[in-house]
Amino acid sequence: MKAEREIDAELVERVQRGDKQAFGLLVSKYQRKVMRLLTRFIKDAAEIEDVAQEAFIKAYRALPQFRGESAFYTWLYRIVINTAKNHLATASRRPIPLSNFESEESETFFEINGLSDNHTPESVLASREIALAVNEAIEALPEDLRTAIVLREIEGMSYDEIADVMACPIGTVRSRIYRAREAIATRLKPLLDAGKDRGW
Amino acid sequence: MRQVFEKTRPVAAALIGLSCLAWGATGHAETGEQILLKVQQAAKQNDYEGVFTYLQAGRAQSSRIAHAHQAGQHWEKLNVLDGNPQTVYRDGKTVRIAFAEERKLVIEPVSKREHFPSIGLTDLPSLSAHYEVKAENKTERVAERDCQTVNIVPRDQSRYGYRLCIDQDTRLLLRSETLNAQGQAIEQVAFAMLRLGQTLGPDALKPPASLKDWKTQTVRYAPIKLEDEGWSLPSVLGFHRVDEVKRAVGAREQVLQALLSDGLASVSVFVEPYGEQHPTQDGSAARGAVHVVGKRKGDYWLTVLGEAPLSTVQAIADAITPISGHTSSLTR
Amino acid sequence: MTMGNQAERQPSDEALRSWVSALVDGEAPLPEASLRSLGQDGLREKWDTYHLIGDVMRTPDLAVQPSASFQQRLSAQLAAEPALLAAPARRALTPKGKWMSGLAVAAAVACVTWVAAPLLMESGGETGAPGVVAAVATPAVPAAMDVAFTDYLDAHRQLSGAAGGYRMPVSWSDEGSRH
Repeated sequence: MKAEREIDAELVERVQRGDKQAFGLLVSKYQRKVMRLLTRFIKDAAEIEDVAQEAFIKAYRALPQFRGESAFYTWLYRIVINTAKNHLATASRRPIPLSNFESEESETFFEINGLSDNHTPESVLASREIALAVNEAIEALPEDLRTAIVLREIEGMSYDEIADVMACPIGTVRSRIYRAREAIATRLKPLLDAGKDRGW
Repeated sequence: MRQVFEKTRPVAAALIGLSCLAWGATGHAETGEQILLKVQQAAKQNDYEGVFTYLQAGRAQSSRIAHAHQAGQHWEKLNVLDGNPQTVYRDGKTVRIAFAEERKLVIEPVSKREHFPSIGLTDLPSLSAHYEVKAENKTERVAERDCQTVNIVPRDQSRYGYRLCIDQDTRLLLRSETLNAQGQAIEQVAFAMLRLGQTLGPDALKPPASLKDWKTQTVRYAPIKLEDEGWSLPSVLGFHRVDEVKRAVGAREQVLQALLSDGLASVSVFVEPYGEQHPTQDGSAARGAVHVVGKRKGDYWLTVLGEAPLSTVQAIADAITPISGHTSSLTR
Repeated sequence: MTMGNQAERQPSDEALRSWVSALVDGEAPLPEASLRSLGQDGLREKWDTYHLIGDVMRTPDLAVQPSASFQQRLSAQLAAEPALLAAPARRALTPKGKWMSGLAVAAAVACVTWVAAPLLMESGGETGAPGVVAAVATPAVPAAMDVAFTDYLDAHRQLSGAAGGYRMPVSWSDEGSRH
């Protein structure tokens, strides 16, 4: 999405100018995707977090060389793959054919039900609970809020476009999306708080 | 999980689908060239007001522009928003540039060639000979309007390519990017904001009477032929002569200028007597898509400048030769 | 909105959270100054949660949160890293405040530098092959040449019809006005 690239590009530029906070925001944004990517190479949850951390630090150090020629996540994706490969090589594990994972598109072919059996039962439970909570929260939303957030997150429309479709001012679009998010966040809060202690 | 969202998707999808269909109906049958002609027409025929930004060599300059047309006449007013404050007033005959800080007015004749926002289209056959115009099935949003991409692909490396984004509704040119051989944008002009329809009447776009008291400089051209002045310049890499004048350039009173074009891009050749203000060595310079080459030819100094790769500008400079036994009308 | 002094108009929590929500969508600008405000008052948590919601809506498998210790350890290691001082990739800012990516600048010379041709290339002897100018900068570039460049540029613009600034800007401010 264009807006995606722009925000990422701005954050990257800030990091390049010395703002570490901006890197923290990028980490927050992509940590889930990075971890899910790593589950295809690594079974152990704690190990996944170690390698994820290593990959993020590598990305931070390599950022001066990033010139915006690709999307930030595409660039990060390659760093994560390389970090995973090196980790497996040094840990002398059985090599996994990695050619399948070279392209970003392969991420979308992940099983829908599928958390693979790489996860501990506890963390699987945590994921399902969160997914269910989000689903329920959205179903419970008033229609205008639900439409707004679906058009934004699923259809990837800009506020302008949503304002057109919903025939309302942009300010209303912004407010509806914000309220939808807050309603869902409220539903999630107990799960997220509990999850922090549990680990992955 | 998905079925929650499926309920809302069809509505949104239908709405999007409708707008795509509408575009398809108007967009498909036209050739790229036909679209370009419409772009030129649109620039003249629409009333609008907007802000556009010009980007070159890492610098940006924004301007506010308003255009009105009425009974075959047009008026245009442009305010440069960055840097040296100036206002440009254009009507059918003259361009008046008012420099606010110096209270100075420069009056130029309007070129027959182009009207903003447009491309430098001088003639279609030349353009087609040197460029392939491809209308893409792609829309983008520029200045919060839907626009269609048209690629002008050069047939050789002697000229740049262009990527245009053309308003679906009015066919106004909303964005133009100049592309180098690697397909990278080296210059860009784009509207950031555009309002159509008559917001300001023609009177609001005319220069105020007070300008008459300002220090005025008028640019005048006298038509000439290079051969009569003792210079030969054949067509080079598709760039052929479209205009030739004698005129003042800066402080120099008498300079010959020949305008060359390949149908789209333009290059100027300047010939003047060699003087101490000129460099002692031949050389070149660049800014964004513009290259300039200067060289000494006997007692004269040649300057060639335009939106073309350096090798092309150099080739044009190399092709200018004096016709022996001829004396120029240029005074030293 | 919280009622406060006119002199210190603090945005309410609600306004701040709504701003973070718009920021996630790229529909609000990042603050000019540092992003410290995003580290305060649970706004960072909002950034995290709003992203989680979007991720989960699109891909249920992303419904996971890293452990608290992950966040802590990464923050600690990041703090220990030296701050970067890279020259940011060159970009241009549209009036809306959004960066355009991918605008590369070839021959990016913001001010005119006259590059001299090798002396061998003096007039008389051209075969018509396009000349290649060697990148040898002359030490003594007369300042007068820079001004003249603008004059030629203007003259070209006038005759070629690019007066609307669409192909060339009307002028660059630091080059002085025309004669």
